[in-house]
This record gives sequence, structure tokens and C-alpha cells, in this order.
Amino acid sequence: MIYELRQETRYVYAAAVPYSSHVARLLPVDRKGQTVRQATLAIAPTPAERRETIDFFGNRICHFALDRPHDELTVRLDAEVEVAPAEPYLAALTPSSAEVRALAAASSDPGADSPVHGLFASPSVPLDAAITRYAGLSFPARRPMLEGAIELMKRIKGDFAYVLGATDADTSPSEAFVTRKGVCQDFAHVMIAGLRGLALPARYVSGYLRTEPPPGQARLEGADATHAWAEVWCGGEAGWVGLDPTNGIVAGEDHLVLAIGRDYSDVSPLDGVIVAFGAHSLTVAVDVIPLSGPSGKRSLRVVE
Amino acid sequence: MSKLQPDPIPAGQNAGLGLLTRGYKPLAGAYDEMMAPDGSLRGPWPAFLQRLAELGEEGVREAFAGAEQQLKNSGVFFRVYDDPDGAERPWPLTPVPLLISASEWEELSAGAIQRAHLAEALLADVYGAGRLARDGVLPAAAIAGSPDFLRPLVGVKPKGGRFLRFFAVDLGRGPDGQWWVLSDRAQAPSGAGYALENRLAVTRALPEVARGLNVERLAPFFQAFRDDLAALNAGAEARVGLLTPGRLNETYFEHAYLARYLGFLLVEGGDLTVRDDAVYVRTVSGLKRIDALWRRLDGDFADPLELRTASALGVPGLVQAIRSGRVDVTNALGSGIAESRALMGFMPALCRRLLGEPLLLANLATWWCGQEAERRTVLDRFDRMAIAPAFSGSLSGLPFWSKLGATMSKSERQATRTLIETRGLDVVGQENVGLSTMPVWDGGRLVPKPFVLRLFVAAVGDQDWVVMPGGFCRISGSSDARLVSMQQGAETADVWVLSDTPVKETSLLPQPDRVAIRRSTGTLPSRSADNLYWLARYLERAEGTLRLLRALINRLVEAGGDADQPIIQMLTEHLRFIGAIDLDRKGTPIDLVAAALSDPASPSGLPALTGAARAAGSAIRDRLAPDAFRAVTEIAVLFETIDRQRLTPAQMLDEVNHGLRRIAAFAGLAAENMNRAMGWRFLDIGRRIERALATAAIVRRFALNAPSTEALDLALEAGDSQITYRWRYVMRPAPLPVIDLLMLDDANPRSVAFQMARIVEHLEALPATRLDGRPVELLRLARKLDARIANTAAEKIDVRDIDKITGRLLRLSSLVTDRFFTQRPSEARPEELE
Repeated sequence: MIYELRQETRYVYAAAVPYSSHVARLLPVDRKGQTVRQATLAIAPTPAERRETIDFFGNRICHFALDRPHDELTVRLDAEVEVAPAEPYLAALTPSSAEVRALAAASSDPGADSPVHGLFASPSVPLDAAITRYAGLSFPARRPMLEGAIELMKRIKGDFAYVLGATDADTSPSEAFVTRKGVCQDFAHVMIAGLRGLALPARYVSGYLRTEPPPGQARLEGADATHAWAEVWCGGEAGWVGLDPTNGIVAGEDHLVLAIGRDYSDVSPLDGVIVAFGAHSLTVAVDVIPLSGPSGKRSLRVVE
Repeated sequence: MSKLQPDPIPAGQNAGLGLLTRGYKPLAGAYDEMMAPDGSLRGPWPAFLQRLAELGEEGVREAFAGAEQQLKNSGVFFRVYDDPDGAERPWPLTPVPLLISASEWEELSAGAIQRAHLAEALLADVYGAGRLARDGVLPAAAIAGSPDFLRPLVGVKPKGGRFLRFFAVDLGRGPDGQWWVLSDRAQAPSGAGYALENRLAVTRALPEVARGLNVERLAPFFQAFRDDLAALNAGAEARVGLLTPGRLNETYFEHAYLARYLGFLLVEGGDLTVRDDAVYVRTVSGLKRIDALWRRLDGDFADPLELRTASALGVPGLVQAIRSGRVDVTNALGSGIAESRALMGFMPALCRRLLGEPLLLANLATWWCGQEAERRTVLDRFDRMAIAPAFSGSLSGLPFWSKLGATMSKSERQATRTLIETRGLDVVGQENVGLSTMPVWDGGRLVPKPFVLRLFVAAVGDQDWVVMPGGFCRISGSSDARLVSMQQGAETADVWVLSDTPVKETSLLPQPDRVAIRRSTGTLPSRSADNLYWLARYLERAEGTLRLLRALINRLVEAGGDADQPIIQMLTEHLRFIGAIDLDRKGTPIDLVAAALSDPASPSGLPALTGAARAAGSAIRDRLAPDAFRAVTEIAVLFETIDRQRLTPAQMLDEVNHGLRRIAAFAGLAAENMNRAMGWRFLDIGRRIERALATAAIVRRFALNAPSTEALDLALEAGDSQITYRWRYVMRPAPLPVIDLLMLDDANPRSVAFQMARIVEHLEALPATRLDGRPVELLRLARKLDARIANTAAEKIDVRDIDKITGRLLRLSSLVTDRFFTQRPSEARPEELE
């Protein structure tokens, strides 16, 4: 499936900002099953400084700074991304969670895709004994890792209410766990916290999800939002598998990956430090429009 | 590993020694630095005690008390985090130093250097090729688990080529006399500055003792460290920066002290800005580039853009500046991983692999429970192990820092064992070593107390290391010599490394022949200027308020309690107007005076003013002479501790005069001892603006609209101009001469005209007061006001005039703030690159 991807992020400041510097993690890159045909980031007003780097996890980072007073900032992504239907993988064939735990702890890979980076508490995901106990119920001894992880994902989908505005970007997984509600970021953080509490590797994905329009209706452009889900490491062969606890589904052809990290703090799409006195407002609009029709055989990446 | 113990000498040989060692008994099962189990004295101790004994019992007591006094005088403080008020405490020093013989030092310093070398090689691999993990020497998780593993720094080579330039290692000595490495300190080790202060205090208290023993000097170590950083900063526009988290940090004193001592610029994150990948310090003269920073804040706080996003302490863009090789940050961001306990167990293997040699100093035996076999070992020998977090930070769900398995409660034990089973990754077991003891002066005698010794290692050149010949010795508050009970030292001691040959005298201050003569004004960070300015304003306001209070007390005493006299009413009204007395406070005038002197709730009462002055002073401790800072502290303490209930009018007068004398002392210190560079100018501008405002207010209330003689007298007294007046006019005060003297007479150092002339002088001398060759609004306004006052006649001055002048003065103050402190780019543009 080929998607046309657009995201516009707009800040409006109450008082003119004389200087600001930012980091945007808004450019998708090629990944397993994902090819970026083109991607551009337009920034207005034109930054005084701008440069791109690739971060530890392979994400494309754009640093920019504005040195003239401005009361508005707009960052706009235009991209064309192809998502391939992935190889089917049998959850039952993944190693047991105990094996995964041992493999991850003993890993000799320090690189970006190593399971070790998903093993520990991270800035936005401290470990939580209650979440760990909750997650533990899905991992009886000898159960294949991915089976357990899929069950955990579905339990979260079932037990938690998706409520916009119930939480914000700084809400801790512990808080979301107690209130049993939140948005995609909270669902993903809770799942990650639970897996890590059991010393099972999990990481955070920011990206986009194509929302299927209701039958017979035109798709509402701009109605979609940025999305987030989790990836679980299931042993050397299966590697990282994307699980979307907000929707209770395995990440597939509908999921476009923007950036990967330990938690939200690693992949926050637009961070900035501004010198300002006063408030600001933020609006984000996202369009994920399929350009080509479904390829016919929309196979699930994972066969349960 | 250290077996080099010289033959002990029996303690009883000398009566003087007996005096000091009488009743001294080493703890059972612990090695004592001074006394062998048979009661004989070890190595260098007899010579030291001998010299000490020569001072006589009284002499020893006096000398030791002198050391304490010296520390107090030098203003050494540390902040107590647990204290809800964030109070600062005097530095706890025990006067008896730890003695280390030359032969033993040789071993210790070689071991410390090897440790630094090892940590450097480890960091180079972890942030470089990552071979240790790939080759199976070190599990990748033992690195990934550290919060100090800063992923944005992977693949980044430090500008100067070295990850570590200032390293420390904590050592303890076991019961068998062997020294152990307890931990590595690679992030931003503290203690070196305190070690310097301890040295100063002890050698001043015991000069003869120190001279006789060939104590190695500390200064060359710091010179070497400074020279290397200075070389990295050679092309910069500002001095090497010492980046501190700020004055709320527990070791802020040390940061300020070291900055002064090394000639570095003390900066906070907010003082720095990154432009085009280079680091600049915001100064009153605009942005100045810095190429080398010594950071004293944790790496993950250093850049809110790429690291911990919530950090308000860091510098946005610093990581990018490092990446692009424009700045060297010491120690490299992320070097904290070398401190992980998880790595301790791997050190013997890492040393063989990275350095091709065995460890010189024994390594505290450590089992990281992220590995199956090690996890089993720790669970099997749980009771004998000290259980601790594998990485920095505390363990989730467990209320301790490091605890002996055997001393855990049943539930702690259960929780810990479960944690080890599921998340052994986060836990290490460590051998529960005992520490050695050293003699500590306690209640007039020596008693053995356990200690930990920190040694400092600095980088020199491309490859070499140098160890500070001395160290930072932390002494336990209890007699429990197990390492686990030694979490916070209760006291500290100086560490004397004794040379076999006489030691060259080296001053702790910069060598005259090494310092290039420089008469430029140097760099004054905007924040420092801001604090200097407000320090002066608060003190000036306190002084003015004290004068008014003194006048009021005197009149109350003269009036014999008749509070209805108009002048007394006017005075209390004025004191309410300036905020010294709360508007709604009721009471007799004498109660009101007491409140102004002692009530912290009065917005401009003495406790609030002098407390604010102290806060401003604390933030710029590196810029104030210790005496000046002490003066500010004493003034604040004076009004903090006044007991209002017990004050008679006579005592109040005493306190007021006392306060005035101390403020005068500060002003004198500032005038005499402060370089007449930019810092002094901001201090003086603050004082002048405050004084001009206060004088204008006094004239407005007491000298306008057909004032009484009493009111005019009071105006002269509050304006401290009585003597000048009497000199000039041999008559009782009349309105016009008083107005002239206080407002317009530019020969009277208290007049508004005089203040304005000084302010204009300062502004003309300061940088960045002109843009495109034209005076900026700030300077224009100051000149206009100055000229206006100079061209006015006393008979023309009315309330409206004074209000206008006051308004202009307030505008001037806010322009000074905009121009030099907040650097809002509105009118002035000091942030433009020069």
C-alpha cells in the first residue's frame, strides 16, 4: 500500500518569541516492510539554522533554530510511503518468555535493534509493580512470547477506555494504569512498562494509522491523528513485532512508522526550547491517504 | 594488595605520644591506620604525633579549634538536601589528617591511574566501536541499563580526544591491610575543592607539623588540569566555563570555589546558548564563545533538546555543539556509565582485555544479577552480600540504597529476592567489605572511625594522567566499619601524602610568572551582573531603612513615649510607604519598629531585605571575596535571629547600629577589594539607583510643602547629610538648602544629582551601551535625567518633579535589566554575534 502522508504542526504564541530552537522527529525512514518514496519537511518561518542527523535508533532528526521574533511556527511534513505486507509469522513458534528474557539479557548486540534497549525503565516509563503483576498474568511459564504479548495487548484494549483529553504527554503509565484510561501513548506506555517489569524487551513506536472510512462514506481528511504503539522483541528470528494495544491489533499494512525509541520522550515529534513570556496554542493536523488500492492479499503479519 | 607497611614503633616510647594515644583502641576486626593491634604506631604516625605533642595539650586544642575557625571564615558550606529549608551547613572537618607514606602512595596512585585509563578505554569503546559487547566481554545490557548511557552521544568523539579529564576513585582498606576500589567516579566527581579547603584549614592550624613532614602539595595537580582545559579553550572569547546546576546543588560551594581557584567562569545552563553549533556565554558585553566546559551537572541534564527534555538546567543544543566538535565538555556527556556497579564485576576481565594487564588495585567483588550464574550466587549467599542497585538510581519498590542481605526484614528480603529472580538486571550483590579506621578528634581525644578515601586523577596531554597527591577523606559517623553503613560521611579529613624528600613550596594561587597580564574587563555573565545589581540594591535599601528606624527610635525616646507627635506619625507613615512595616499592622510605634527589624513577613522589612541580599550573594559566590560574602551572610543572620519580644528601645538602637556597621563593612570590602571591572560597576549602579530613589522619596515627604524644622532635620538625618549641611549653612535647616543639598548638590555624595552622575559614568564605561555608534535608550535616558537635575533650581522642585524623576529612575532600572540581564532583543541587541 502506498500512502500520501501529510502532517501540519502549528504553534501560535501569545507573545512574539525572539529565539527558539527545535528538534523535529517527523521524517519517516526506510524500515523493514516500509519504503519512503519521498519526504520533505517545510518549516515556516524559514529557520536561521537547519541540519539533519540520524539518531541512535536510526530516526531522521531535523534540528532547527529561529532567531527572529515570530509569533507562529508551522512544521509541515509531506511524504509518500509504501508499506509492504510482511511475512506471516506464527506466534506459537516464538520462544517462551523465559527464553526471550535470557536471550535479551545475554545479548551481545549493542546496536539500535538490540533487545537490550527495551529492557530497562526509561524517562517516561518507570517500572511499576502493579503493572508488572497485571502483565505477568499473560505469561505463564513456557508460553510462547508473542502469544503472551498479543494476549496482554488485547487485555489492555479490553480493560482500558480510550478517552481523549483524559491524559497528557506527561502522564505516567502508573497514572493511566490506575485510571484505566488514556490515549494511544498511554496504552503503549502501560504495555511497555508491563513487559519490562517482567524483563521482556519492549519499545515505543510513533507513527500513523490509516483510519478505515465507514463503508460508502468518503474519508474525512484531517480527522486522523498521530498514533503510537509498542514493539515487542520475540527472539532473534522474529525480532521486533509491532502490537497496537489501542486497537488490539498486530501492526500491519495500516501502520506507518515515523520513529522508534524507548518511550515517548525519545520520539516526541517536535521538541523545542523557546525564550518567551506567555502561553502558546498547538494544533496538529494529519492526513494519511491511500494512493493505491489494497494489494488484494492483505495478509496479517502475524498468524495467531 | 598493599603489603608495604613500615615497621611499627611502640607508642609508649614518648610521653607526648602517650598523651594523644591514651585510651585509643583499634576496633576489633578492622585495620587501623595509626595503631597496630599490639598498640604500636604505624609508619608516618609517630613523627606526626610527636610534632603534635610538642604543641602541648592546650596547644593542640587551640590549633584544632583554629582549623575549625579557618573553615568558618573561608565560608565553606554545603547544602543539606534533606533539610526542608535547603539550609547550608558549615563544612565538617576533623583536624587530624589521614597520613599516607611515600611507598604506599606509589602503589595507590599507580592503581588510581590504571583505573582512570581503564574507564577511558571503556568509554571509548562503548561510545565508539562497541567491540566489548560484540566480542562477548561485556553483555550489552550491562551498558544499556545505565541511565547514563546517553544514546545521542554514541558515535561522537570528544573534541579533545578524551572522554575523561577529571576522574576519581573511592578506596577502602580491608581488615588484612589491602586497599580495595569501592567505586569509580567518572561523571563529575566532587570533593576536590573541599580537599583544597581542608588542606588550607589544617596546614594553617598546624603549620609546624605540616612543614616538618614533607607534605606533598596539591596545587601542581590543579595547574595541570587547568592548563589542559585552557589549551582546549585557547581560541575562545571567554574563559573555560564551569557549568554548575546552580546554587541549590549540594556542592555548589565547591563549584564556586573551584571556579575562583582555577580562574574558570562559573556558568549555569541559562548563561549559555548555542548558535551555529558553537557555545556562547551571555555576558553584559554580548555573546562570547566558549570552547571548553567543565560540567558539574549530570550528563542527562545537559541538553533539554536531545537528552532529558524536562531539564531546566541544561543548554539546548549542547549535544549538537559537541557532535560538531565546536566545544569540549569535560567529562564527556555519558561518562557516568563507568560508575555503574554492574560493571564492577567485569573490571578484571576488562582490564586484561583493554589494557593487557591485571588490575593493580583489588576490585570490590561484585555479581551482576543480569547473568544467570551470578544471580544464583547472589541468591545462594544472600545473607552475606550487600545488595545494591546495578545502575545509578534506586531500586523500584525497595526502600534502601545498599543493604546487607542478613539485616533485611522478612518482607524486604522477600521483595528483594523476587526482584532478583525477575529483574536481576537491576541488582548487584557485592562483597560486604570492612573499612579501616583512622584517628578522629572527638571530644578532646582520638578515637578510631571508619573512612573512605577518594583519589582524583586528571588528564594531561594526549595519554597521561596525574593523581592529586592527597584526597578527600570521608569519615563515618558510626563505629560500624562495614562498607554498607558508610553511605554519607559525617566528617571529612585532609589527606597528607608524605614525601621522602623535601617538597617544593607551591602557592595555591596562580603563579605570577604563569599568568599573562590582562587588564581587560573580562567576561561578566549577565546573571552575575543581575545578582550584583540586586545585592547592592537590597543592601542599600536595608541601610536606608535602618537609618529611618534609628531616627524613629531616637525621636520616640526623646518624646518620652508621646507617639502623637507629627514627626513620629510622618515617619511611621513613610516606613509603611516603603514597605518596612506592613500597611495593616497595628501597634505602638515601638512595636512597629520591632516588626520592621524582625518580622520576615514585612515585604521590605530587614529580614526580607537582608535575606534577599544573601540569596543574590550566594548565586555569585565566585565573584565575591570570601570576606564580602561573609559580611552579607552575617547581616542576614543578624536580622534572622533577632528576638522581637525581648527588645527594649535601647537594644533596638544597638541592633540598628550593628546592622549599619555591617552594611558599611560590606560596602568597604566591595569598594576596596573588588576589581573596578564590570562587576563592580553593576554593584555600584544598583546602589546608586536605590539611593537616588530613597532620597527622592525622603525629600518628597519631609522637605516639600512648608515642612517643619523637625521634618527637615529628619530629611537630613535620613539622607545622612547633617554634617554636610552644618558645614555649609550655619543655621537651622531651611527648605530650599535642604532640597538643594539632597537633590541637586553634586558635591554631596548622598544627593540624587551625585548618584545620577555616577550612573552616567558607569553606563558610558560599560560595553554595549551604544548601538551603531549612537547611544541606546538607556544611556540617553540617564544623560537626560542627569542634565535635567543639573539644570534645575531648588525653588522649582515640587511633588510633580520628584514623581517624574522617580518614574525615570524606575524606567532606568528596567532598561538596565533589559539591556544587560534578560537581554531581551527589543531595543538593544547584545545577542548579536560580534
